[in-house]
Formats: sequence, C-alpha cells, structure tokens
Amino acid sequence: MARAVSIKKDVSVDPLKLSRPLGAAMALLGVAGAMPLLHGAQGCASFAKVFFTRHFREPAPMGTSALSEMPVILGGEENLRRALLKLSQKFHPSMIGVIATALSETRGEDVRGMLENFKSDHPEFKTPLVFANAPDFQGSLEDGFALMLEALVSGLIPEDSALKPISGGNLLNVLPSAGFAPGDVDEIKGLIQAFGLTPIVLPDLSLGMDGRLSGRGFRPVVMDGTRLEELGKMPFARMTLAFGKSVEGAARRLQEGFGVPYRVFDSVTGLQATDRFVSALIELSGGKVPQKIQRDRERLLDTMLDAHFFTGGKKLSAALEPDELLAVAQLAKEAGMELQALIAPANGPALGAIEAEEVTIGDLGDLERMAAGSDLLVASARAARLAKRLDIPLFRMGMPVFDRVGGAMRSKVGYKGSARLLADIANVLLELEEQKLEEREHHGVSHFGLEEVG
Amino acid sequence: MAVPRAKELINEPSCEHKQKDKAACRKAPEPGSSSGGCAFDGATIALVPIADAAHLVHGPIACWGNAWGSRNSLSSGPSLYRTAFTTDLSENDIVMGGEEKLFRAILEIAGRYSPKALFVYLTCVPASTGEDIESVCKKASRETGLPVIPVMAPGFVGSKVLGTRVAGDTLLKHVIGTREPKETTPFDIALIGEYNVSGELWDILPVFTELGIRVLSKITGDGRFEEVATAHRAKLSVLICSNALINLAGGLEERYGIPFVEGSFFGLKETNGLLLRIVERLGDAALIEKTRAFTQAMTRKTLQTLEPIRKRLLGKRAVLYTGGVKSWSVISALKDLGMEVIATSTRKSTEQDIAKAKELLGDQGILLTRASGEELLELVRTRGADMLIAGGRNQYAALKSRIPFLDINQERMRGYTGYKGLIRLAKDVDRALANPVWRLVLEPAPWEAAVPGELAAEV
Ligand code: SF4
Repeated sequence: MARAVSIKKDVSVDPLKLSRPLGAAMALLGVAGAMPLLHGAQGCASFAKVFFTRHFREPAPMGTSALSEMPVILGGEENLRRALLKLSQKFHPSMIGVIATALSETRGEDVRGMLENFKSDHPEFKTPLVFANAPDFQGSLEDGFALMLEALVSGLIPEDSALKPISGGNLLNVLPSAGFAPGDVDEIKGLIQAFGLTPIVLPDLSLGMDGRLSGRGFRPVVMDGTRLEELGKMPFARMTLAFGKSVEGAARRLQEGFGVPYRVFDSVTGLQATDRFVSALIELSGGKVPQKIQRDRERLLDTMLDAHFFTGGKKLSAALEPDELLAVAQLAKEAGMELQALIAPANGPALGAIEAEEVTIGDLGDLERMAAGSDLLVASARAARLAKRLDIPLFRMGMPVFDRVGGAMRSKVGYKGSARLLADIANVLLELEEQKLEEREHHGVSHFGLEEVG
Repeated sequence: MAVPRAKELINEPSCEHKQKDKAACRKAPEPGSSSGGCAFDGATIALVPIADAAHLVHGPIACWGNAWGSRNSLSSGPSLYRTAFTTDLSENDIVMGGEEKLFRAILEIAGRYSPKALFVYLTCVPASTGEDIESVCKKASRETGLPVIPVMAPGFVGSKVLGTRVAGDTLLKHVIGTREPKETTPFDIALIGEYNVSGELWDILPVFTELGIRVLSKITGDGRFEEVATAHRAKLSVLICSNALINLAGGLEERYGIPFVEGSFFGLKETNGLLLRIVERLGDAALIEKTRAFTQAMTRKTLQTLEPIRKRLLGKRAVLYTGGVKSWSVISALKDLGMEVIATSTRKSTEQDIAKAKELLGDQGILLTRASGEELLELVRTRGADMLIAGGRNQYAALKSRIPFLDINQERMRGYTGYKGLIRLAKDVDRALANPVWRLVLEPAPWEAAVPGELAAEV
C-alpha cells in the first residue's frame, strides 16, 4: 500500500492543486436551485465561475461577498449580509451555500456566527443557508467538495425526520465524491435502479451539469440536481453508499444523526471494484442480476482480453485527486500496467489504499520530473504541454479539461464505463505501437545488437 | 507595509485623464452575483504575456491554482511565461510570515529556470497581513542580479481594470527605461495593450513591417522583458483597445516626451484610421503617402475577399456585450460586414467610447451599462437579433436559449483584428449563423410534433 511522500518546497510549479472553496462550490452544482456564495474578494468567485463554465461547458452560478479594501480592514460581515439579501431577492435560489475563503479565515472571522446573527436579524429570510469552512490553506478540490457534502447533510436534512429507517425499503443514499463526473453519476444510478432500488444522490451533477437544454431558457442558479425535498428522505434509506473515501465523513454523519448504516466503495472503476459494488447491490436487493448487467460484465472482460496486448507491461504515470488516482491505479493494475509516477495534490484517505510503493504529494512540475519514460500520462488538460515536452501521450482526466467537448457523457465507472475507459486507454497505446511500426519501416533492417529492444 | 490602498496603487494623474473613469476605477464591487475578476486577475492578463520572464504568484492556492493556464496569449519563442509558479501559502506560512518563503521561492526559480526577470504578484492574504513583498523583491534582486518586480495588485483593491492599471504603473516604475535598444530607427513605436490573444498580433506586425515601421516594444503580447524595457526610446506609443493602460501611455509621454495615439484594429475603418494616425504622428511625408496607398489597396482587397460572405451577412443583427474600446470598435468591424448592431455595453467605457458607440449605433441603438446573461437574452429576443457577441461568461446563457453566439473576449480561439482578422471574423460569424443546428434545435422532437411550433414560439 502506498506511502504518501510530500516534498517540502517553497514554490509550486504548475500547481495540480485546486482550492478547497472551488470543491465546495462544485458540490453545490449538483443541488437543484442552489447558489454558491464565496465569502472573499471578488476574484475568487470570478475564477471559480470561469473554471466551471469552461470545464462543464454549462453556465455556473457563483455569488461573492466582494470584499474590498474597507471590508478587509473592518470585517466582512456587512458585505456577507448584503450578498445574501441580494442573491435571494434577485434569483430566488432554493438554498445558499456559504463558503469561507483564505481571506476571511486569515482575518479570523467567525462566519458561522455571522450567519446566525443574520438569521436572527432577518426572520423573514427563508432561504436555507449552509456553511462550509474550507479555506484554501490545505487540502484540495476533493476535500472542499467533501466538506460541503457534510455541511449539506448536517444542515439541510430536517431534524424531525430522525425517524427510524424503514427496514426493507428500497431507498439508498448515494454520495459520490468530487471525481464523479455527470456521466459517472448517471452510470451509478442506472446500476442501482437496475436492481429495483431507488437512489437519492447527493450531489447529483448528472441532472444540472450534463447538458440541460430546457425550453425555459436560462436561470442564474443551478438548473437542476438533487431536490431539497429529497434530502428529507435520506434518513429513511436502508443504507448510504459512499463512492470515494473522501466522502466517508458525510456518510458517517447520516449514520450518527439518523442511524443509517453506510458502506464506502473506494472506487467503482475496473472489474473487481465494480464486482464489489454489484455484490452489495445483490445483497441489498436480494434479487437476481439483470441480464443487461451480466452482459456488460462480459463485455468488460472481453475488452480486457482485447486490450491486454497493448496495456500489458506499459508504464503509466498519473496526477489526479486522491480518489480518482486510486480508481485509475486499480484499473491500470488490472490491465497489467506498471505504475510509474503517481502524484496527488494533497493527502487524502484514498492514497493509503493505492497498490504502489509511494504517491508523491506534489504538482505537475513533479509529474514532469518523474514521468519521463512512461508510456502514458493520465492528468488534466493542464498537463498537455508537459506531455508534449516529454513526448508521452496524455489521457485527459480530472479537472480542468477545457479543451474537449462531450465530457459530461463520459464515464469511467461500472462495467460499462470501465470498459469504455480501458478501450480508450488501450487505443492511445495501440496508436503508439503503430507509430513504432512506422518508424521501423522508416529505418528498415537494423543491426544485430540487443540494446535497442524496447 | 500596511495594506496597500487603492489610491496609492492608482496613478492619480492618468486617472484624472478621464474624469468619468476615475470614479470607475475606485468603485467598490457590489456583493451578489459574480460579475468580474479582481485586480490580481487584471494584472496577470497584462503582464504574464512577457514570455521570457517568470511569473510568481504569492498567495494561497486559490489565486493561481484555479486560474493558471487558461489564457491564449501566444509567444513566438520562449515559453517560460506559461509555467505557473506560486508560493501556495499554508496557514503555517501565514503565521510564520510568508516573506521568507517568497524569498526562497524567487531564488529557486532564478536558479532553475534562468528567467530574464521575475514578476511577483501580491494577492489578498499576504496583503492583508501586511507582508512587505517590495523589500523581499529588492533583496532578492540584489541576491540574484535579476530584475525582481513586485506587482502590487491584491484582488481586494478593485476590479480587473484597476489591476491592469497597476500593471501599467509597474512597468513604468520598474521596467521601462532600464535597458537601451541596440539601435533605433525614426519609425520606432511601442504597441501597448495588445496581448497577442490567439496570435492576433501576428496579423498586425506584417502590416507594420510592410510600411517600414518598427515595433520596438510589444507591451505585452509576445513580449520580451528587455524589449519592453526599451519602450522609452520609442518615437510614438500606440494604445490599442485599452482604457486601462492609458496611464502607461500617459506616463511615457510625461516622462520621456513620447506622444501616443489610441485606437483599435477591429474593422477596416478603425484599422485604416489608426495606421494613418500613427504615420501622421511619425510625421514623414513619404511614409504617410505610402500608408495612404497601402490602406486603400488593402481595403479594396479585403472588401473583394469579403464580398461573398457580406452578401449573406447583410442586415443580420447582433447584440454586442463587451467593454471599453471594443464596445464601439467591434461595431465598426461588424458594420464592415454589412451587419447591424442593435445594442452594446458601456462597461469599462470612457465618455469618448460612449460617444463613439452612440454614433455608430444610430438612434435606434441601445446602450447597456451592466446586463446579466438573462437580460441580454431578453434583449436578443425582443429586438429580434440574430446573435449575441460577447465574452465566454455569457456563452452558455446564449446556447441554452438556442441563440447563436460568438466569443469576442480574451478566451477566443481566433484573432479578429487587422485585415486578415476581419476576414476571419466574417467567416466565424457566417459559420455561427449558418450552422444547421439553429434550425434543428428549434424543431420539435418526434413526440412533441403534436404541438407544432410551441417551442419555437417560446424561443
Ligand atoms: S480576490 Fe484575492 S484571494 Fe481571490 S483570487 Fe483575487 S487575489 Fe486571490
């Protein structure tokens, strides 16, 4: 199991890390009608908005308390209040998720206290408020996402719904981590539904960030996602399924608060990981495995057979958030690949579970330094230039991917998603083999020395 | 050092240059929906294109971690400017003071990457704790022998425009005048405010070469540190599409007696006009004659090339939402294509900009101050416009409402300035409007066919 090695450094080169507030805001993009509010200066919200808009190719609402000089000196409470009033009056969001930034944290502001004061001063203010304290100083996207998820679970489920879970009911809570793109959430939901179970997904990015094109045009809040009413049903679920170790905290809260037991799936990418998930579904549904899923598993196995010629023995280097890194590492291992450089932006519970000697906590500068000689890189579009410099193909994953369309339909989970992902990776490697053949053709007959056999 | 104050960061005289503008560069942003970037954002837009310098952002990960690598400023040579450096401050760093870390970071970059210079960007957190990055930069400069330049534009001091202004001041204070050019010519100019987005500059440079005008300093698109530093030897500076950098042009005039002209390379009329203003200021009769002939010939050729596209675009109507000089210069370009602009925005615009916009729009035209995506779409619908031309922020608002869209701001993938750029603009507008998707996206799905036209009526 991997050891996380962090290199102490004074300067981060091509940072891999994304800020925790960004992750917290992203979790809200899966809640219908939500409005994220970054409590800080205006730039933080602007960068976040641009980031999501370009990555998802969807509009992304973003509020800001717009701290300027005076509020920074005197305190940001007044600005926060004005932002709350303005956002709720103008856009009628279903809820507002307040996110502290490094600036408010450095000032030592008690944002939670401010929100309490605000609520008691404005009894007429009915928009539900949730607060996540996830300043930028530590962690990365995945942590911010998980913290907001905990805040949603603690803040939005009515306390009086703390009744005993109805045993034998078919409701399941599903908590995907930050690495679950809209297509992944879709795939998970489909699998659960195929077993006759009903998932309540929080947050559900597959509803609002996947290419909605309603006739109603455009409203500057999250277009669709988990409905607040559905949150009220979560205490009645038979079980919570947490996807990714980073979101275990939120699952634990559901257990502590409402007695809903939970199970964590480190990953649902690859054969064995999906097998574990499907076994759980068999257990929970007590039913048979639907024909279609059996076929999908067969297809994954068949893809593994077809792909192994190209993946076997190949060296993979990856730079991703911990949960996604674990998923990719598992799939690569199953495909017979070797793991060369594994880089994560920050420590996370998933890293310890990766089957490798070590994972480096670092940046894309480290990837560039450590990945030379690999056959394939897996990282965000930000690694595109270094991949060119290293002359290694890049398979885009993680965030941001600004330079591809159709990202929302891609999936890397379940039998189907895993097969697709493996095939895509194998195709990149296959192309490489073809290139080598072309080069051979170009060089013609070689000499008898053994040193050049690659 | 205490928290930097906006008024200390703004070059007062140049801010007075345009009275209306002065208020704009001071106004505190409004809490609510995110409507624009911070000063730090603006400073990086203006300075990061200096390609052989290293750009180091001093702050927690939020500032650079979420933002780096998303601009399309191109370089014909060095690529160091594309490497993102940040001190990635932790809570502990803040408590202990980030100055030491910053100092070590500068030394490390200087040692490992051999930059021509280092720009160090101050951000909100170290600014609010009163870190003295100016002293750190001085010390590091002595130690490394490199120019290490503090950029004092933490986000909370104001908008993107203010940050660009700070960038201009920074160049005046720390860079320009520190190097001498190898040689000078009577026709040396400094280009200010052109960031070579998607290689736009490279459509303009050959025009200057053809005319025999030398671009001594490119500020800052495809720029090099040394070349920017010699701008004080220019005979003329040319401010392109930028109100924010007027302080830089004004400063060059004040300090070095370099006159400046303002203008834009959007559209035939503006391009020709600007070229003529440039040569008139350079004051060489032969050059003026040559430029006249050149602009006439280019206009003829461009119009000829555009002819078939113009036929299709004739009378097409657009809502334009950009800012500053572009709020009117793009209208001029679209008119060259035979199009009509029914509304434009006056964000970041000066009185002069607004007057020009009014003139170009005509009586029926609408001047917008700030408009949300929703309001823009409403306008497109009620006024029967064919498309929205705006920045990436509004792209998806338009697409979701099934309205053709063109990106005119800094994230655009293709250059639209100069003669070549105008043809590219024409082709892109034409392609955007002619795509069959606009018809298909309005047609009902098979199961909706029972209520034909309902959707179309809505949109
Ligand atoms: S507002 Fe301040 S903290 Fe936020 S991105 Fe801009 S400089 Fe950084």
